[in-house]
Amino acid sequence: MPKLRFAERDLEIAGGATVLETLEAAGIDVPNSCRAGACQSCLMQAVAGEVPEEARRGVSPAKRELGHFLACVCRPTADLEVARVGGSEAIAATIAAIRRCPGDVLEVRLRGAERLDYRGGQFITLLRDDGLARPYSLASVGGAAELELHVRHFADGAMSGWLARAAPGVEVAIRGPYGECFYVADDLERPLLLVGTGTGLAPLYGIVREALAAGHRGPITLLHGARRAADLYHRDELAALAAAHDNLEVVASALDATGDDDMTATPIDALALERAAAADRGALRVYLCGAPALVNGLRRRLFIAGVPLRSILADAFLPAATGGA
Amino acid sequence: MSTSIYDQIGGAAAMDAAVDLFYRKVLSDDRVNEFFDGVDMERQAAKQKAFLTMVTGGPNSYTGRNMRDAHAKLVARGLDDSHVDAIIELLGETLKELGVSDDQIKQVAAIAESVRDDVLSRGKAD
Repeated sequence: MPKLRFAERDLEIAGGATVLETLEAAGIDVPNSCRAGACQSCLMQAVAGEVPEEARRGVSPAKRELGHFLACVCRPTADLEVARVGGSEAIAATIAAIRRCPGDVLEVRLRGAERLDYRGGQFITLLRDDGLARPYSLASVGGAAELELHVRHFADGAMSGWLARAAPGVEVAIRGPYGECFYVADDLERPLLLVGTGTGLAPLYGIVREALAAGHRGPITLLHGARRAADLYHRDELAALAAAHDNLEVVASALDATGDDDMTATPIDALALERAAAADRGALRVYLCGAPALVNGLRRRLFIAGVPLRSILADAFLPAATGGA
Repeated sequence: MSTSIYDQIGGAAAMDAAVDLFYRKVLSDDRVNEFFDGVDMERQAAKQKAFLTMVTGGPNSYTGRNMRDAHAKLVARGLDDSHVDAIIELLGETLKELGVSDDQIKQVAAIAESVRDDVLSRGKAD
């Protein structure tokens, strides 16, 4: 049976167990959230031995070179020595403000992380001082003085419940950025279609503002959906953005929309397919963020409808594996 | 030296578009698309790229073992000859749209045919 070496301890890897499970069984805490190889909260570093390719999927080329891998999906087949990712990588930040928005959303602003080199739409891992970790998308524009996160507040959420009560000035840490869901200014004329549910708006809000700042001229459609009209947040901000830019159209969709509240009851996936059908599908770039069922289902349907697979950038928000986020 | 079909349709640079065509046909075909429910589309596209590269004579590191392991779970779910037939048919349609001649499509189909037993977990693994 292969052995796992960590901090000068040799641990037995039970049949088929992951590095994360093995460390936890030995009482070693590793930050983690999705436990499905997506959120990168559990990123670790291999010191010696081979990491299965499965555990390196989605890890950036630069991090691969450093031996970084995802502990939650790493099932070693031979001896492996691992370490925590260098402590210098975590960046200290301070909670600057927390605003309550409709839909149980907290707009969290962080200060002090100016050296984080990121693009709006990427995500970070937010770390509390006891090691609790959760991934959140960046709604702010790269280079902005404050990071902006949209956090869905769950009553039993370990991180979101804590954030809802946290006061400005509280210190946290962040790691990242991760992900490839961001604006690329390779063609300022191409149509953009941004589709998000709930806090899936966070990455889209960063992406659309970066696109506009880059002088994007092609038509941009942003679709934001929620079950209840009352849960749609940032409506004023989006309306102001659309009013200031002729090429931006924002459509709000809620299943209980009545039509006189400036939103539609047409489901967001139907709207997205309609807009994609009317666009130049060869040039179109699509961003899908939020509920996994919507993101994955719509990716497939848009692809079948003729959008190239590489033109569909998706970020499915997986829930934390234990308790709410 | 004759040019491979892979080079003829544009080589590595043309593979993404070829995969899009092929994968779209597969997902739109009710005979086979249920086998693709819930799969990671990017990973699947990468596998199809390797497959298209192999059957058109491009550079590949194909092994029957990979094909066998990759499809074992699908065989347990009912994957059979009729599904392989459908895939080879869709492969032919894809190549036709890319301007490949009927004769050459037959050659490609013969190569695809050679992995049928591995895909369906029949005979001995190589």
